[in-house]
Parts: sequence; structure tokens; C-alpha cells
Amino acid sequence: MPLLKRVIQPSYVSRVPLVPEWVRDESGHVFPALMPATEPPQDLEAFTNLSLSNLISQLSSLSKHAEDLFGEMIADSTAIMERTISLQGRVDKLAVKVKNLDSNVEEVSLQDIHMRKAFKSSMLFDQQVVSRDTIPAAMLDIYNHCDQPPPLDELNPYRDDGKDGLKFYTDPAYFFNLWRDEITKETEQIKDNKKKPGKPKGDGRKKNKIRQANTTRIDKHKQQAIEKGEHIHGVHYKTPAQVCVSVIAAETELL
Amino acid sequence: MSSRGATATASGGPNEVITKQITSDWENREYIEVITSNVKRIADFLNSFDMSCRSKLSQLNEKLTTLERRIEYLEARVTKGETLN
Repeated sequence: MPLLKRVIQPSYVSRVPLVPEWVRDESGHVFPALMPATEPPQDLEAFTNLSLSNLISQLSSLSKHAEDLFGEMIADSTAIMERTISLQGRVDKLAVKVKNLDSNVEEVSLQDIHMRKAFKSSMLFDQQVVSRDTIPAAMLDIYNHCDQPPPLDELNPYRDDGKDGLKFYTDPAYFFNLWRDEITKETEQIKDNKKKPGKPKGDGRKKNKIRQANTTRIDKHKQQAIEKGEHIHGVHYKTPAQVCVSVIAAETELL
Repeated sequence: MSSRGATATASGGPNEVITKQITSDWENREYIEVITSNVKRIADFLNSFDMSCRSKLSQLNEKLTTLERRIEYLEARVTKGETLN
């Protein structure tokens, strides 16, 4: 749903405006209701007059909005004009200064160049652009006509966690807080990263890594030969234990 | 619109009076329609004018900001500035 900044009223020019009134029904119960402000006109001419009078109020509402619109534009253009004038003054001063510069007269020592103070910009950046202070008058008017949020903050004493009950319903600072948390987290991360690259404390020795067993050159040649279709008899070498066992067995046979 | 309203004449019958009333009502409605459409046209024009002015002002603002930054840079280059001594 689009948000209307300026609404021209009345929207329905041929309708009798409705106003809130207290009405009593047959049982004597009194209740508020929207009732026509005047008796509805009985003939065509009266209806025409009603439409015309509503049109006149519509025109007046239009002129009010137009005045507001032009006022905003004038304020903006005045601000730009003031900035332009100050900029023009700065340009003129700079031009005079540049004209007066003469490298033959002024001596610039190398030491002075290095001893200069760091440049600091005087530019002010706009902050919190979408805030209550910068809200246009028309938008503020619409905002003031909105319904108030329910008074959930009155239930705060009954909360155990100490949070504001209204903030669960509406929280104007939600996005700012989200942004602030993100920035804080980023800053902390940068700080942590700066701390990490320092040399680790210890005896300075590196632990020797155990080399993983790789395939030897002989194994590679064997593999290649098998791939080409050659048949290689596997030579099984005995382990020292197996050799001992076989020697003992041979000796017992001889005995 | 009392001046435009139909008035019953003594000579005409009731049908004639009603016809005159309806005719004048149509005229009045046409008149109201003209005013309403003109109000809409004014509102349309104001909206488009506002939009175009705002876009041009924002462009101007952007250019001014750029110029201010350049001028500041030039001023910093030209001015001797304070030394740490």
C-alpha cells in the first residue's frame, strides 16, 4: 500500500460529510456513530450546491498543499544557494592565493614539509537522514493523525525479563540497533585478526612431522608394467622373525 | 447553482418542469466535472513539477558536494598549514 504524503480532502465531493455523534437507540442505549453532518439535500439543485461547496474546500486543500510544496522547495533551494555562495567565496580566495604564489620568493625547507600536521577534513557528513528531525511537515501531519500504539509498556512491571513490552510491538530504533551490532561485531573481528598474526610463544622448535609412506619408484614401474599387460611374479621377502623361525626349523630337522 | 436552476413556469405542465430540472442538472454536473478534472490536472502538474525539481536539486546538491571536496583538497595543497614545531 503506497504511503500518501499529501491527501486532498474531501475526497468525495457529492457526499454529505459524516461526523461522529452520540445516538440513542430504541432501548435507550447511547452509543457513538457516524451520522451525516446535515440533512441530505432533497432536490437536485441542493445537491449541486453541496458538490460545488465541497469542490471549493477541495481547491483550498489543494492550494494549502501547493503552498507547503513550494515552501519545501524554497527551503531546499535556499540552502543550496547559501552553499554555492560560500563555495564561490572560497574559490575566489583560492584564486588570489594561487596568483600570489611564487616559488622564487618562498623558500620551502625539506624539514618543514615533513613536520607538517596531518590534514583533517572539515566536511560534515549527513547522519541519521531519516530521523524525526528531518521529517517533512506533510509527513509529520500524516504521522500525527495515526493511531497510537497500544499501551503495552504499562505491563512492564509484570515482565520477568526486564524488557520493554512496547518494543515487541513497535521499535523505531530496531534498524539502528541492528546496524550498530553489526558494526561492533566487525570492529571486534578486526581487532582479533590484528592480535592473531603475532609469533607463537614457545621454545621455537618445530615438531617433526612423520612422513607419510609414498609409493616408491619401483612400485610405480611395477604398476606401469602391469598396466601394459606384463605378468610379474611377486617376490615375497621374509621378515627377520620369519627368517629366524625357518632357520630354527631347518636346524631341528638336521638334528 | 441557483442561477442555473430550473424554475417551473406557470404555463408548462409537470413533465416540462421535470425535464427542465433534469436538463439543468446535467449542465451543472458537466460544470462540476470540468472543475474536478481541472483539480486533478493541477494536482498531476504539481506532483510532476515537484518530482522534477527534486531530482534537479539533488543533482545540484551532488555536484556541490563534489566541488566542495575538490576545493578543500586544493586549499589543503596550497595552504602551508601548521607544523608540528
